[in-house]
Amino acid sequence: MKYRVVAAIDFGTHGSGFAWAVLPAGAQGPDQRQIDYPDQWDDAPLTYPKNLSALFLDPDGNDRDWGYAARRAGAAGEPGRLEHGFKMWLSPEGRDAAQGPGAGLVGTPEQAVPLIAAYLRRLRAAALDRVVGGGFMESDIRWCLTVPAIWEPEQRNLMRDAARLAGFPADDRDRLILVTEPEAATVYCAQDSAAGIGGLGSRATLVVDCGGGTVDIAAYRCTADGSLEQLRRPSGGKLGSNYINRRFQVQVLAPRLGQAAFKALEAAPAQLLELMDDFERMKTHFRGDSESPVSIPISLKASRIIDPHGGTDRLAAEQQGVDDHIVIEPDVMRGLFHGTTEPLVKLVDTQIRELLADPVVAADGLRVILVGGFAQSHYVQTRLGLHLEREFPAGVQLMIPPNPSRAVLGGAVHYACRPEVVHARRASNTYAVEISERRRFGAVFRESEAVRALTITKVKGQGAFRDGVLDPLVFMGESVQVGSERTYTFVPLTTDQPEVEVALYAVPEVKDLTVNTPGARRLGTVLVDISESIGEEKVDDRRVDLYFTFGGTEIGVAAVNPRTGERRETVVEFAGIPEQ
Amino acid sequence: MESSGPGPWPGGTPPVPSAAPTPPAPAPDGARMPWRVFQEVKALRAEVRSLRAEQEEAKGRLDKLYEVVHGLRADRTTELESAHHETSHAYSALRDRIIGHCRSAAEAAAEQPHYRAEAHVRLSAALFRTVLGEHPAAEEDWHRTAAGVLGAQVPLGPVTDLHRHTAELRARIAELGGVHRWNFELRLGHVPDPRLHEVWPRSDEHEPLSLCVAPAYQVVGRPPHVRPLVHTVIGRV
Repeated sequence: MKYRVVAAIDFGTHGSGFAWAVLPAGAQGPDQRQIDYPDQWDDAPLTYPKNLSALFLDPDGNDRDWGYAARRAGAAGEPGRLEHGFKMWLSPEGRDAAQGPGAGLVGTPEQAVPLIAAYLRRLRAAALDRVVGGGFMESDIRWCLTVPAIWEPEQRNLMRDAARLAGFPADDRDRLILVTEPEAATVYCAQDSAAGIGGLGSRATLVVDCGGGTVDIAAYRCTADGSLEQLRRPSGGKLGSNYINRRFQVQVLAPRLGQAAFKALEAAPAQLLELMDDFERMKTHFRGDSESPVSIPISLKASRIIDPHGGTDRLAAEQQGVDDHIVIEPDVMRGLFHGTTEPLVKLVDTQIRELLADPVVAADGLRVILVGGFAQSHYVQTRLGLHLEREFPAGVQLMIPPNPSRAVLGGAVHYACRPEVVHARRASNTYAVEISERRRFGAVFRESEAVRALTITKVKGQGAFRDGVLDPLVFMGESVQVGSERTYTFVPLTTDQPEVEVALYAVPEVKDLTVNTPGARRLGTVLVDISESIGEEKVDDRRVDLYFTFGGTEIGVAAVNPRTGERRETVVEFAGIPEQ
Repeated sequence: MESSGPGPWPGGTPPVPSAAPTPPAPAPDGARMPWRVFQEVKALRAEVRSLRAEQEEAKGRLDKLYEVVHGLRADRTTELESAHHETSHAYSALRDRIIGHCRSAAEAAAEQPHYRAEAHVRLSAALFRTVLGEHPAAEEDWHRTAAGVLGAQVPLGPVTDLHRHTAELRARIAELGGVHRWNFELRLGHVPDPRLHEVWPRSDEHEPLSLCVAPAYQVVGRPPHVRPLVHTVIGRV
């Protein structure tokens, strides 16, 4: 084993943490791994494996405190500002929302990266402190960073950039590996006895990872050798618990306090966060069939902020005289959940039906495992449980590990110990190489409209070619075995062409593949020098061999000139696989 | 016939077959080098092999030591601590419910907001002392305690469910093991420290501590899983 320690970092919208384990020499099963989940953070109200994803920046913009300590600094009125929720700024909506009303709560990806980097630097330092305390060196550690499965490659690249800025060995793809959150959770359920699942077995398993910002869904099955095979491409949506929080602010808090008082509270993020913490706790324990109202206390400090803006009087008027609590009637509370849990239930339902369409899955039965911080919510558990019971009375079983908030962290540690535990994944895109396709007689009648729109290059002695056609290597949704190789032979267009440029594309389609297909993205290119064969009579004698390796974390591309033995290599992202 | 002239042998004398072979004349340096270098390479290879074996052995010993040290570390979050972690969250939820229940009773006890807030905090503190005391309380103890704070004429309301949950939590904690305690201790007269205390929402945090409303959830040897909820005086907005 090259590494003595593996450390996983789970950077979440609301909370972030790390876990680590020692890898002694010799074979060691997952059950022998003693994972440490540090759960004590300065100023945290409870022990929990996650610290608050927040930073307190001094007036010069330097991060002075992080986590709950940042919130305390903000509450103490120290000079500077509190930033939180910046993971969500990485999404394109973050950019759009930053230009719209209520821009005070959101930011752009450009603003997010330095903040994420600063936060990750703190988290890395805390992890190093813990690991080095055991006598290990930094070089002994393999790091694993979790990312949502539904993130676009651009967001994952930004995350890697932030990790690099934070001091992680981001350029060494073996020392810093990325894993998607549902995949990590699946590995946890499959390998860790603390999950209480008893392994995944050969039954298909749908893992629903409910976080603060996103919900990720992935389906896996255990193969005979204990490795995992992905059954479907990951799906999900922006259905995290933060959307309920936001709804609470917009639909309950703002109308009851009045816009002026609410804005004043927003301008004091530490007080707002404190209030939201109480709401978070009440939200977790709220039951769908509850008939009791939920009371969120308003602290004295918060009252002093809203009172000059008429907030206290308005609250009393809105709530039959109660001005020291936000009282949420059970129906209102259910309404806050509704906008998030109903799409979530529908999404899970669709995934289950699609999986059950496979006769093997239908015969063996299906297991749905709910993990993530939001999975601790009684409302989510019962809402999903009742739905599954009603719609799938037999063959679908809902399971919730006793500590669902740990699943992603623990799974990321297990994954980093042995990334090959995931044996096959589904391609999220079609992966294709760009070619110039020779036009045959009458080709125009067979060409699709998309191909007909491409330009034609005429080559003396060779005929006419359509430029920009994409020849697929792997189709979207295809199961690709980790480490499998695809080969391809390229021939230049002319006998005097000094080099060949090989371009690899990802396309969210399976037919009519061209460089102009909507969503087509060039992932990378390899340039191969073939000047030594200029003058060969036939272009076929000037071929270049290409090898595409679908590894655990990326697509390896190697172009080989068989005449000189020259080899050019690069790596490009494999969407659906957690790395770029 | 003897040959008197110079023969084909040096000195004109042929070698005698029985005689020991003449030691080879010292070869010029260039010819001798490969043999010597080969010997040196061979020796170095053997040394490298031996050093590698030593390194592997030392690495193995080091890994074993790491394993032992890791096993001995007291700051790791073990499975037991993680289990307490779960129950401490259950305590936090129960605490919210008890406080919420006390609020309804306090509203009935006092109309004036300040006295209502005062009654709320006093009732909550008294109930926590009763139900999280050394010995498990009976359901009647809830009502007796409430009557002591609010007066017998103000009903606490049904607490069967809360009582059952409290008993369940106590039992769960007892089954876990580890030296657990409900920590009510306070340094009276000091102002609350946000790192150590959670301040009652309506308390003035700049005033000295006067009361521990709800205890810390503490496993001996570890910082509290849940900090104590403390009160100073009811603050004015």
